Amino acid sequence: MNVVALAQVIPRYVRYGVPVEGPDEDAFTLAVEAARRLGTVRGEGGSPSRPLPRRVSFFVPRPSKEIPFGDASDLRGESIEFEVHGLADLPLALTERLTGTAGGEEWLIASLDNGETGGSSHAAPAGAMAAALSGDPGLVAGEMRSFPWKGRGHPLDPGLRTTLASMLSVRASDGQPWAQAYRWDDESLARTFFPGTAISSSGAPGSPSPPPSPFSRPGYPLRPLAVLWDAVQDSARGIRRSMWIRLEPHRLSVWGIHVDAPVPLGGNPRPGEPVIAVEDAAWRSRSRVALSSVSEGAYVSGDRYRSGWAGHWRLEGTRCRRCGRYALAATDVCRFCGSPEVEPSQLSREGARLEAITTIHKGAQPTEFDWMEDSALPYQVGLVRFPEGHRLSLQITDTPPGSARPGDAVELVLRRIYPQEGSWRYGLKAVVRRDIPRDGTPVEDLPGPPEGPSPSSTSPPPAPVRRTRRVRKSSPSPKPPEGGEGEPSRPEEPLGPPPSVPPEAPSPG
Amino acid sequence: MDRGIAPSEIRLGILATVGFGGWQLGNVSSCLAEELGAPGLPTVRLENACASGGTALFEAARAVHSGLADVVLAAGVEKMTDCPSPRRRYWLGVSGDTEWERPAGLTFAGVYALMASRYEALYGPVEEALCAVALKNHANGAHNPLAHFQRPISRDQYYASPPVADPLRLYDCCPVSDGAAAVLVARDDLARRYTDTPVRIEASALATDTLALQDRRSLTSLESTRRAVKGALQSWGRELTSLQMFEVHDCFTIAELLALEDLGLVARGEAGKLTQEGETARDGRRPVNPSGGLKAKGHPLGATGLAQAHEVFEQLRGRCGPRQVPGVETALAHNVGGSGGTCTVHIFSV
Repeated sequence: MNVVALAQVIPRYVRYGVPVEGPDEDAFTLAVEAARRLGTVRGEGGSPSRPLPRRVSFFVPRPSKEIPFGDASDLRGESIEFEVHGLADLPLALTERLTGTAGGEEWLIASLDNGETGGSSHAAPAGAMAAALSGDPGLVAGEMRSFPWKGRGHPLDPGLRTTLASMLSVRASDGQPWAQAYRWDDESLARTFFPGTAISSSGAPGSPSPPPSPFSRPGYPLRPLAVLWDAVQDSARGIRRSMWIRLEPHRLSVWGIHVDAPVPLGGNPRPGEPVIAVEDAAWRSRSRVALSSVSEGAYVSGDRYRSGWAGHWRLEGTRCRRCGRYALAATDVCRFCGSPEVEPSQLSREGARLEAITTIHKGAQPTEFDWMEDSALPYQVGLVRFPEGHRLSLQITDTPPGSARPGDAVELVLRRIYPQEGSWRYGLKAVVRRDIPRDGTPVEDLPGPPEGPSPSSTSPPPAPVRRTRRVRKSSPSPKPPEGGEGEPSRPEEPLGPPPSVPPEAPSPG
Repeated sequence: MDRGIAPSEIRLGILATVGFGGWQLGNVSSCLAEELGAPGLPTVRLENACASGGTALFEAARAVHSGLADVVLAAGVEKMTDCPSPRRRYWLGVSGDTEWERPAGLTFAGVYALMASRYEALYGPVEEALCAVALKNHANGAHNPLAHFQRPISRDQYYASPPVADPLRLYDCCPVSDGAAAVLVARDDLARRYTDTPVRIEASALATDTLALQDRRSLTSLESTRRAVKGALQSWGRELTSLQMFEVHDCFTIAELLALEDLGLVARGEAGKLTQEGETARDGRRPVNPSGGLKAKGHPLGATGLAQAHEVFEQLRGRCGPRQVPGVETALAHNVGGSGGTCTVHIFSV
């Protein structure tokens, strides 16, 4: 199989110059984001989204069967297989898929966060990479040779060194070196023993080179996919063939990578997106979040939470055919006009804008968000207006406080909401898009309910003095007054309407 | 009450309380019977968030009108400070929408702040108008011996108060209060047994709107208020202009501005101007919240609607001393639940 598309997610937060996950991000949210981006990566003139894969494999630091990658990744189609593996399985899985035969498109998604290690002084870059593989032309990668490896620090066996040297000098049919660049997992190995080889990708002198992926650091768990990303970027500058000298625990292997056809890349940041510096106090507070307790916030049971994913994560609900209003979650009867003519529907994620916005300061947040005190308060909350005519209250993230305004375009991302009962709850949040200009045109109200009789219930003034009398057999009841002074009913009588008896003919007033 | 009443003459007790604090949450209404010294009194507790008090009055009027009971006690109470601080913030959010608003990070201040944000987008800066409401209500509260805050505040103090949910500051928000209020509702012909000067409930209306702000037609109008006031005026049979005094639900200053527009006192977008020109001051043409409103008087959730009725009662009988609205004979009380999910409007006359 070949790599036919790649996507990359780099969080917007940096700590000492290194991208780290934001306060509400983790490996799950990064992986979901990567899957979403991959789904929208397309080539020149291609359709807006990729074909549905038949299998999606997630590689994350802490795989858990409870985390619903399939539900969250917003992939439609009942026949998609979802798998979750530990990150250490990525290289082998990649090897197997690349050398396997295609049976439809497959996706590999790998993500890495720093976990709850707030005490660490050196955070590794956090983020995610995603690759789509199929039989179509794209990037071809495969092993050319592999050698047993005794580990770093050992000089290479002389015979091994000779073989490797001859590999690196393989010529193509035109007499030029086969490889136009060499990607070493161990740069000191290259410098010591093969000083003549280019250590990393280099373009023609003077040509601007895009930065390599921040995840293509040697030894980094996302490197296998990041190297492919770098190879695709380099191919745009004429470097179509490269060798990747890979280190694994007891093996050194040489892979040939060649980019046969354009491979579209999807990633961030978009132009104008701010990079947000994380302060140390905020970073360290990650390790102090208590997952174990039921918070003092509104208790939503796990079952209730899970039953809400269709609406809360995928924006699925119903739409009324009569008045056009949406309901998330689905209803049988329109909540706004009462019509039973409702049909399943889904809000689109494109075109959403902020209609109103506020910044919540410390103390004004619901208790579920106390965990954000050191890291993400004050935060902004907006009313997001969807083009279909629906509004949702959504927290705003990845947007410096005070910078969001009504009229801003937003995209929707899945993030951590709050901890409850031992795990994180996830939900959608809004991120302001700076690549789409703010829209200043006034927003219309939503359609109101159909006009009808006023539903308010009124109590007309007390009736005027009664002229008729009812004779009751059993207990006496208040006699109607003549002159405005009446008697209250006697306390021994039970409260309630008098027993019903056929009325006698009214006596004259 | 002027002429006294024997507890046994009360035929039904309605207790309005959200149950925010304190310890007797279940079966609390039966305490009324015991506390009054009226054993066996039929009682019920009802809850409509912050409109519980107004709803209790609505139900009391309905019970009397239907002939079920001739004399009904509507009482409201909330002990909000008898509650640990995180639990307070929990409670302040539960009457809001828990499906979307709360997970977005909103409690009531945030929801009303979104209304203010939209109001600004439509009509321009709103800060000065919000300040004017806060100053007026605190000035009124200074003359109310029952108010939570009995000191006026200055413009500087308002602007210096810390932000809560932009654009709302601390001084835009009503306090967390303890309090209680009670109203005795009696059949028309019985009223003078208990008081020299009864106040008549001319109309009593209850209406709802969607629980969540996001689902409403407009972000700057409470449909529940519009429906309730329309129903109340229809039932009364007279125009809004016949009303001389208004106790409205100013849980946040922005709520008073929106209420003025929803009640029909002023056109959309003009409520700020009306307030800043002094029209809603105690000596203005349309006095609003002479009691100090929820802002200064306080907002013990279940009691507020009945506290508004109490203020009306004293005002219409001329018993308010320095905060008396001169010559007032008709009044309207407006009580809202949550961010507008429920609303009661009562019209009174003397």
